[in-house]
Amino acid sequence: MSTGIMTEPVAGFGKGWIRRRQGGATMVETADAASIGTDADDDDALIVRFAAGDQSAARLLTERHLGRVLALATRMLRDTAEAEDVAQEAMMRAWRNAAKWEPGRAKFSTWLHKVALNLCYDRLRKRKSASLDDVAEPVDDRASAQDGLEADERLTVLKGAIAALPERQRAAIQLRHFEERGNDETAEILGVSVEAVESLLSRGRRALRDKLAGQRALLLEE
Amino acid sequence: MVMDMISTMTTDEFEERAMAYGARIDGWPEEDRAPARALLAESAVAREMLEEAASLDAMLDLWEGPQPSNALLGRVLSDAALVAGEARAPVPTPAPAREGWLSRLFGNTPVFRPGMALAACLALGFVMGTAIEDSVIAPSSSAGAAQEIGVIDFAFAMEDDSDLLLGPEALL
Repeated sequence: MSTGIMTEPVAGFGKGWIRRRQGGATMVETADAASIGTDADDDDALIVRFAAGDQSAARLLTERHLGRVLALATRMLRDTAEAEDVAQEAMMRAWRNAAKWEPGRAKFSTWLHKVALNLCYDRLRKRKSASLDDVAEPVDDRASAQDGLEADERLTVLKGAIAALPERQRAAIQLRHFEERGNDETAEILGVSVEAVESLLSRGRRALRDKLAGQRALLLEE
Repeated sequence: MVMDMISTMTTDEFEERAMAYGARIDGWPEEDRAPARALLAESAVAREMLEEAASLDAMLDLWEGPQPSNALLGRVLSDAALVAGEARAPVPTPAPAREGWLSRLFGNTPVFRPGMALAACLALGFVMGTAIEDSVIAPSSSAGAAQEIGVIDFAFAMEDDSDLLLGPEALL
């Protein structure tokens, strides 16, 4: 069975963006993931072009990668403003390191996600130490307001369950499920072995399944 | 005889993979796909496990990733332009030092600079020493010399006053 993943251009952000849309609520097997157009060779060429002063290369790289980096940061931090700051900072580091980039040595998107993930870890650590000092944790007003406007209780429940996972399990699910990255690349971004990735995924998804078991009817609108 | 090269998979192993990688078998490690499909064809338990994993996948998919705003895109591209501008900007070079009369006399070679500084100190010390000696031992009648004597007198006067203030014991 295939639900068929549809793609469509995202308005206002150039034709490079595509958004996933999935048909059925339950799926057993889907068609292959949509091609996002992030060929590693192209990324290498673009970063070299940017280092040589080609600004159009910066736009292409941004269109390719900013959405995924922002999604990673949003799911890790659950705070829109902080996630945008992390995405911007990660891209800034790419620009600043462009002249030193060695084509073929690493995959640009892997490097960029690694940078973004480390920035997320830093912010989560700061939050923890701040909460120890009895400072209130940041609340995503925009997300909360949006959730309220949409009256989407399902999303709030899901976000809460994912946020309760340990950081690395959350990151593994983000990279493997949402971005459909392979085990090798996920392991490289997380800085763990492939076996550890499988373990993180398994434990994370089991925890989610247990946590969401009572909400299944709500979430799947059964 | 044709050997069956597809390895087998237990339902426990199947559940482990389904939990870790979800219901899309194409996303499982390559070596697990064929055994998983073989088990799926004959096991109702495995099919149930896959349905369970599919439910979790569907729940996760409710959270769509945010779309970058145009404002964020603008900030990122501004950063890129800023970095590119910094890279293109010429490196500022220090302005050449003005050539003073000493440099013209001794040249600008760094080797001579400590020597020049030492010579200047010696010359200044000689001039100052001579001037003070002259003023104390053989004051001239010039106004400058008179001022210098005045300063020395004031110093002695202060010494006398301290005697008065502290009393004779202070001198013991």
